[in-house]
Amino acid sequence: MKTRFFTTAALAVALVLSLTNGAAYAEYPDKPVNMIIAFSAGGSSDVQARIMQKYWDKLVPQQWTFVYKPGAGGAIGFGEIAMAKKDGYTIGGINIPHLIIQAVTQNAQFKLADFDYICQVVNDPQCVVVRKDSALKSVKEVFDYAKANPGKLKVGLVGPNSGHHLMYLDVQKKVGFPVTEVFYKGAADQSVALLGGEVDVLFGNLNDVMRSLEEVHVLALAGEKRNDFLPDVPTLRDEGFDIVSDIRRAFVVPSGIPAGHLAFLRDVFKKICTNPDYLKDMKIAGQPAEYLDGEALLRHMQSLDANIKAVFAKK
Amino acid sequence: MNEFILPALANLCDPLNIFLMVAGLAGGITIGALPGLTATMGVALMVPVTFAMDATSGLIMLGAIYAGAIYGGSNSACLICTPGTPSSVATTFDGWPMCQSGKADKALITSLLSSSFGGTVGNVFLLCLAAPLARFALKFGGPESFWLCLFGLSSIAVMSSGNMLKGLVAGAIGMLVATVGLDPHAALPRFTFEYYPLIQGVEVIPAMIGLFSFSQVLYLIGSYKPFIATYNPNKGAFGQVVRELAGKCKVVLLRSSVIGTLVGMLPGAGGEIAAIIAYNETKRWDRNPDRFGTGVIEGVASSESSNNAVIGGSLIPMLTLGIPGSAVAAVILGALLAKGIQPGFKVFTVTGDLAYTFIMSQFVVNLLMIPIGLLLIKLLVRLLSIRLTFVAIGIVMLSVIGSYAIRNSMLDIWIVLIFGLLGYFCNRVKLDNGAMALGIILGPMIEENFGRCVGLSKASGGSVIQVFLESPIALSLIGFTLFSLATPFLLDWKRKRAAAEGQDTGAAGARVSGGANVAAGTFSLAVAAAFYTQLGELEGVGKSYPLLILCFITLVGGYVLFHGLNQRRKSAGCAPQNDGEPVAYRRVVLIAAVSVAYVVLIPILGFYAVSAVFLFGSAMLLNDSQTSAFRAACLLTVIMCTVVWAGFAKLLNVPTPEGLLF
Repeated sequence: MKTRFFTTAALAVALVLSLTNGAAYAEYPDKPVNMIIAFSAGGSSDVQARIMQKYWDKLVPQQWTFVYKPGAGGAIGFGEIAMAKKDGYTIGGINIPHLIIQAVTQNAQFKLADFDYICQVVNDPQCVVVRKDSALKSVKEVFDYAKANPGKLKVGLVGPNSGHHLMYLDVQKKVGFPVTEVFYKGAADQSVALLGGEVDVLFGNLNDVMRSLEEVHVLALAGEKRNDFLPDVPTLRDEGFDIVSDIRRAFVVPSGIPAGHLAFLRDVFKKICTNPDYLKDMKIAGQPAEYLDGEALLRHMQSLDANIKAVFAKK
Repeated sequence: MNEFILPALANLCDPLNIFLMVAGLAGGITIGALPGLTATMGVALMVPVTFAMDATSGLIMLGAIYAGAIYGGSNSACLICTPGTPSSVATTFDGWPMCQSGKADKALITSLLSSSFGGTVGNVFLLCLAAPLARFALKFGGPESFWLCLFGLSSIAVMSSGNMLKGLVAGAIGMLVATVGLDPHAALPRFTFEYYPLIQGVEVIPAMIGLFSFSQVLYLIGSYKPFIATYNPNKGAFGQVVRELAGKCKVVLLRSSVIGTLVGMLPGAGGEIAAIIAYNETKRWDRNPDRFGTGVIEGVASSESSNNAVIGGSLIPMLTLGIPGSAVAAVILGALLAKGIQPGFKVFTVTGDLAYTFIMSQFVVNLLMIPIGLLLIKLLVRLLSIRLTFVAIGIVMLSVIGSYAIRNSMLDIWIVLIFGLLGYFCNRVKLDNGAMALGIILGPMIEENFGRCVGLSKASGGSVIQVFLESPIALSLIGFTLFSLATPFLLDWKRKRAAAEGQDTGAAGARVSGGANVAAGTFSLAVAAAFYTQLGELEGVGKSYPLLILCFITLVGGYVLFHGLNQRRKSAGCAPQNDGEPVAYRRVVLIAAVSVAYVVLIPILGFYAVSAVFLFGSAMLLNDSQTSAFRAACLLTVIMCTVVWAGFAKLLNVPTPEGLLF
């Protein structure tokens, strides 16, 4: 009886050991990878990641397990990514500048150095939007009207301490923009306010504004160049104002995962982002795709970080 | 429009679409009936599946799940007094008493038929009046939304008539609790009590699960009953309900459905608000409001018809303007956009094929709901033949996994526990849980719109009052609010006049004992004091708004305490009052303690391992029948774990908290 017990136990131990050994030598990834989304299921970030998943599945045998960690404007999910195990089995989506602003203003549980950056996938420029029937026909008219009637023009923003807020402060600094600012909880409330006449102008993201295109007039984009979605709309630079502001989406891992794993992820994501079918799907979904590799993304974030510290730290 | 309707009907005859509607409904009803799994989650989880379908079929399926889930929530509301989705909170008010008096089938059939009716009315509005209604919804800016929320809040006065002050305190406590998290005006942490995860704030759904489900578990365990209710199947129940609904409930159904549609159109306000407003309007206009809460069919009919009417309403601004009217509509919008379909008034012309097929499918879904619902009702009433202890233990496990699944956060499980204990306590001292729920739901919207008005006032010379009173809609809402607040006094006057004429109108609410008032008052003051210590570094609207609520709680809570002490002093000589039914406190403490241990151990050992131990252990500890406790406990453990694992982990792909084991 006793020997039989020991034999079984020995066999069991051997089995477990062989399994773990096997895992260590198998090719990464050999189990499903967690994908943390810091916003609700069905939101823009989720839809974008789901499109990527379709192409990931064609390249890698292991799937993504979606884990939604919404709350506090993304800060909960971003913190969750930063604190995840550094084994390469947790990836997450981040939004810029949200992440940087939260790190600066909210004593959030993460900083830029807590992440390794895979790549940027979306660059959604901010735009200046008015109702179709508005008397203001260009950004120059908007800025001139604001200066001629201090406090009269009402501008709707999502925020505070958001990408929109950042652009608003930038405009104030560079152009002078004495208006009444009104903050909304999300893009939906902000759109209602513009369409219902509660505010006259809004600074919003292209992706959100596209939903109500029948009702609004996009005066200018705050991108570096014009966008394929609205090729006739000028950039603020075209109009003579040096303002660039956007919201970007990127994928990251907690910093310090094995270098080989990071290289693997960067390679796969690059392949997805340059696939023409993927780009077509993104266009159909109204997501302004723009690939930027991990290093370039980090450089962009560091310069943004300096700018944001200068703007918000004083407050 | 007409050229699209016939092809749309033809599209619906496609066997795949018929299958999707039936499967979506059945799945939706099940998700809705399970406490913790909400309509939003059900729809969100199925969005990736639609990526593999064509846009029309995907939309049809999501619509069917939405309708099924909102209806499904009423089943658990009636049977175990646990709203399956927040939209069914008001259904518990009368559905549960109906069930307790042996009329479970009548309550369930009323919910089913009213849901189907409400859904159809909402859809008629969507089909015929989408464009003008969307224009109307846009008129609701900051001031209008602010007053609408206050009007909703004022229904506390109707809800807890006879006990108005304590209702108002409970509502204010709810509003105060809702300010925990990120300050919406400065985007800085507020009232987090040095505990970082609280920055997420108190999510409405776990708070509702706590207030209504977990507190109900404590109540059920503490009652000396072997079963939830005796159930006498009644062969003619269906015909009886149809006659009553078509007869005395006509007006109630129509009014509630219109309220549902209108509330559904407004972004931010969803089924939970619509149902409470509709319920209170039904109560207010009834000839004898006192009988509400004792199991009247009108109460169930109004709540259930309005929350299903919300569906059609919330789709109006989503389809025409790209602005979702509810959380579920927002998810469906995401699915539409991923398919490259642009919302706008043009959806009815350019993509009319899709839009009308979807709308017509909603009519079919509301019809199909009746046979499918009847079938499921037959199965569900069997719940009543399971021993109460086991049902209660099962609810604890479902509440835990359901609340975790909302945003995968352990904080939400703790919110369920804390609000459950709070809800139980409040029930004992007659602080209205419904009023507190209303405060939690409406509080954030009131604060946000208040902030908007303050922001807007800068453009009109700094006068906030002017902004608040500018529009005719705002002014009429103020009128409604004042009328609503005056209702209890009007009712009182009516009652007195009736009494003078010698009519019997029933008891005017049981007298509350002095002890309960002392406890309620002390509790309110303690909450106010705890929040007061955290006011420190706040500024602006983010400080003045909670401060205002704090002052209100202190004043009214102090009065309730003083009043209670006075009562006690007066009745000192008399025999102690009896506070209603006897309670097995030992069992209540036991299940509460075991539940706390359960939640503490989950992140350490893993969800399934601890759940199995919890189910088995509490079933053994709380067993109240003589026979075969061991076998029953094993059965409960195996069935619950298998069902949750198959349903959540495998079918819905919901992650569970992991630990050392599994």
